[in-house]
Amino acid sequence: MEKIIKAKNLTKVYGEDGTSVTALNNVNLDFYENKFTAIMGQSGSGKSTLLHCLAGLDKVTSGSIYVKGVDLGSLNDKELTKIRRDSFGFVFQAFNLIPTLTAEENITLPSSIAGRKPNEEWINQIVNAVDIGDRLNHRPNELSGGQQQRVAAARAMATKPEVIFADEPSGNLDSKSSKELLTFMKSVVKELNQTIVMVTHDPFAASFAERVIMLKDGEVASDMEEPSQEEIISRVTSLSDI
Amino acid sequence: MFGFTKRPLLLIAWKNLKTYPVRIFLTTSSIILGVSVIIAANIFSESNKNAFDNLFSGVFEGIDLVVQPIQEDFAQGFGDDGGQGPISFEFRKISDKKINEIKTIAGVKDAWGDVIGFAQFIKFGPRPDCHSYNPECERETILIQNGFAPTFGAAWDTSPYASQWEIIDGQPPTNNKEVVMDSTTAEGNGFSVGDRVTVLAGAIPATFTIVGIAEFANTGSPGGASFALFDFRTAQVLLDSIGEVDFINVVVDENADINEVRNAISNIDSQGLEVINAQEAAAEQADSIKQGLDFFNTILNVFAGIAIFVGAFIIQNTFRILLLQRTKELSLLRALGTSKKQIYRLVVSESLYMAIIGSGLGVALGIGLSVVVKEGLKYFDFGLPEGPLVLTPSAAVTGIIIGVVVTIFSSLLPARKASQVSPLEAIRDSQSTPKRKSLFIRLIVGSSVSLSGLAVLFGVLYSFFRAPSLSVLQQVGLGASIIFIGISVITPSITKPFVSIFDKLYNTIFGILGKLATENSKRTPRRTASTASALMIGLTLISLANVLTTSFKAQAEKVVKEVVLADYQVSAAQIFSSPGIPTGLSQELLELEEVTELSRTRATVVGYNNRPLILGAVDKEVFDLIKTVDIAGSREDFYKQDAIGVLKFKADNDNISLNDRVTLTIPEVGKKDFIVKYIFDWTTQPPAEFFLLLDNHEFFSNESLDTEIYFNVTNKDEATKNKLDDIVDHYPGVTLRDQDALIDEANSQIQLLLNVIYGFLSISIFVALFGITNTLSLSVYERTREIGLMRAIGTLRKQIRNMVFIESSIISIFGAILGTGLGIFFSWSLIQALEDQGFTEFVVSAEQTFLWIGIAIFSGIVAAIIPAIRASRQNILEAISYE
Repeated sequence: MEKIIKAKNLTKVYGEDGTSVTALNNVNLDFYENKFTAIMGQSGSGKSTLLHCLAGLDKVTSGSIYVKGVDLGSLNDKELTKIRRDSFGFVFQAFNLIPTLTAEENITLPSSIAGRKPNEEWINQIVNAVDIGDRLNHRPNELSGGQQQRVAAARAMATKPEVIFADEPSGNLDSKSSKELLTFMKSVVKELNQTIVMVTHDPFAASFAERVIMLKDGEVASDMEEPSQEEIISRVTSLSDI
Repeated sequence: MFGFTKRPLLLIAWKNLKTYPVRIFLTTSSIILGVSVIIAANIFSESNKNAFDNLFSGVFEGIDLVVQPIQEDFAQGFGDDGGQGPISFEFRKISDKKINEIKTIAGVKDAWGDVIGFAQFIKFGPRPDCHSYNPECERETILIQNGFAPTFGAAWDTSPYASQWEIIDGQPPTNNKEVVMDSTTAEGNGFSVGDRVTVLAGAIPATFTIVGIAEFANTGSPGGASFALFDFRTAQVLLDSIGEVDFINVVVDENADINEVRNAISNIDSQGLEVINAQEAAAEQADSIKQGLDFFNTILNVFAGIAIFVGAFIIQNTFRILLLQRTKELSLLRALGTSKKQIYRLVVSESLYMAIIGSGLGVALGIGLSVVVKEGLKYFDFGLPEGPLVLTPSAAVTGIIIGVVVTIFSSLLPARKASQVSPLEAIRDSQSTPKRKSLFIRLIVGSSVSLSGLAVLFGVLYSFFRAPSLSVLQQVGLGASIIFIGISVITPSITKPFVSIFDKLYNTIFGILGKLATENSKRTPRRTASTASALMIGLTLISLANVLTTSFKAQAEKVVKEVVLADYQVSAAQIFSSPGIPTGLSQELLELEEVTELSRTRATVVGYNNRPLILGAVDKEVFDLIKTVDIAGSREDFYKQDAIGVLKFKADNDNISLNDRVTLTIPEVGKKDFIVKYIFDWTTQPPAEFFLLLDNHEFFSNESLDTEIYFNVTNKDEATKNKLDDIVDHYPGVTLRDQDALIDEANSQIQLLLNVIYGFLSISIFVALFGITNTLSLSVYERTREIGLMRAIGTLRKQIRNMVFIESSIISIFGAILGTGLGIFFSWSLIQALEDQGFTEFVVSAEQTFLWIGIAIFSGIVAAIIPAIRASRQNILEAISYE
């Protein structure tokens, strides 16, 4: 399996000397292509910070991140933005879609801002997969929460990115919609050869992933391959007990 | 009244403001500007009044009484500026023998005569179009004039008590070869003591030596006028006052009774002389000038009013948006038990703080602005007296009160709306999407208002409805105002359809960014509309001014072409400061073989029914050179000895018909009867109301000055023109124009007026731009998440900036097109209304129209710079973090 992101000695400190908080402490991790990875941890464990740094949304205090060999720290804002646009896809917990654009326009937004024609065949494939074909001309406020997140997921894949970053994608959904979304995410990794890195605090959501990394106090506390939901819960419990 | 006793709320209001200085600035910027214009207008006019007061008390400093001749009744109607201009006003003067008579009266300490008249300095400079090695270069004569101020010649005061003029360099004039120059003119034109200077006084220029430079009442010269001061005898000769003076100044002994002396002097010749108290006269003169300035002040205040009006739009808009942003905070207060009323008070007291801060800053800015205006006018040689800037406390207070009242009133509606916020809003996590009230009612109301405005306007134009007690123009104005209000009401409901027109275009040009920008402006139609409205007001006025002046220019061109049949016209270069055209010029022209036909025009003031009237004299050829229309009688009869011609409008007004007898009081001749033999229309600006044939009357043929000369030539070519120029160049103060030059001149006057109007109107555009900045800043603020999301998924900073610029351009285009459309329509209506007065031309200059729309759009983009930069620098993480 191809290594797609390499994080080396990542440290992220917020604030000035006296009041500083260490969000990430010397984290070393590799992420692999065509794999669904979940990052877990409690509130304040640094999982969101890790995702933001990996996705080029935030700068690390020290250490480096290589995406396909390119050091993100060496890039300026414009280059980072282009990497996000062309190589990454994003699904956030809420407010994923531009309210004035239709579902279809939201899905093709990354290509549009890059000034490229979207790959229609590919987009049709995704749209069918997320089952929103009949909602394409609707605006976000006319879609249910589940539909909105599926549109967001479709957008994240629309440019065939190297990695899709998902930040609590099912956090606002009811259990049925949540399951649908996660099932879809799992299937695109398998069937459409996508790579997903997802942050979540929910063991159920994490159980859809092939690999689950747990963070505690900014450090990697556990790294499991193909764990069951029970294994995840027991690991979470054991970590929070300490 | 606004609940200042509720201290906690007042505190919250104050804390809110202190926490968000930018917010204060955004809201108050329009208050600041509006108030500053009011203050500047006030300072400017007060300072001028003050300066004129000083000036006039300076004119009569040390003088107790002034003796002046009683003018014929009819001449008095012309006021103090008689004797100026190409029409010779034959004012009475006083024999200089009276001076000695007055000196012998008991109680008179000293008496001396004053002679004043037209005189102008001349300098010679190189023509702008030739080079220094060409000897002809030195031949260009330049008439010296300080801006628009008049040019005078006067006698140097001979009394030791006179302190009006003070020599600052050199000495007073003592003989007919010497002159003293005022220091303003000397400094402005590089003259100093010992220089030779040519002075045009009467008809013939003569050369003098400058022996002194003088100051008037400690300023360079009164009101910027240029003064050539001669010794007494020389002044009498040059200023057409041999053996005479214009008035006599009297100084009274300290212990004598001023009224007794006054009576004693009037007893010398109570029929011919009047004696006035100098200090009272000073106050009177200052008052009459101040009234003239009041007009200027009124204009300034109108523009200040427009600025405030536009400001009110923006304040209301800004408040609404600010409160929308704070929905959460306000609903939290509501949830904690604050009543609706208290929220209302909270918001209003915030606006009160802002109003006070804004108005205060406005006063400060106004002071700065008035300095700029004053210096600006000085730069353009606009002769106004020097003096300190005066800010009266009442003006400052008025400015602040207007600012405060307008701001508070503008905040009332938004405050009411804010107080309606539900306490649940705080707990709910919703994007702040305002409830959308239907715009349909607006459309209905606005349309009916506009339609009734149209009815009022077309009612008068197509005469199916006349409002009682309104003139045609007033009704057109009323109709236009109603339409304007109607359109302002409609704008929010037409925002969507309007912007939709541009959807395709914007999508094609700017792609997804265009789509986002158009959608954003449609998302909040009210906000877009009210921001655009502010710009609409300015553009309406500008395009109104623009189309009117273009049409007036076309009108002027048409009139000149139709009416001036002559190849050339000669007239005084500056109509208010030159004595006219020496008659030698027409003689010289007649001697040229190229000149085929020539008519002179002369004019004088006579009495008719105890009122002053301008009597003109023309040659027979005038009817070939100027277009006239026969109404009654015949030209042949008009050529007879006792015949008189009357203009149609005068005949209509005074019920004069053919063969009527009119009696005129002519200064040189006395009462004389004429028979009306010819009634006609003079299609251009007529030089007089009654006309005689020039050669029939000695008092005309003996005059030394013509008002105008019209003539034809055999061949209008370069050679002829050069020949004519050679002759005309010998007569300073006289210009030769052909049809094109006449049109150019009319146009340049209209253009000057237009530029002044543009200057003032641009203030309202400036205020509107602050509105655009505000709206966009807040719109960007509202869309923090959206912009953050776009950045996260790969939108470049530059693209975010462009999106804001595009949105701004939509708002500006909306405002500019609506405003320009209204302006063009209103000017069309006005010209229709003026049809009776001979206005037929309606011309819209596409160039000017698009230029101003372009300026508006460009300014809109400039106004978007700050919001655009702010949007592009937004922290992505803050925008997408979900806490």
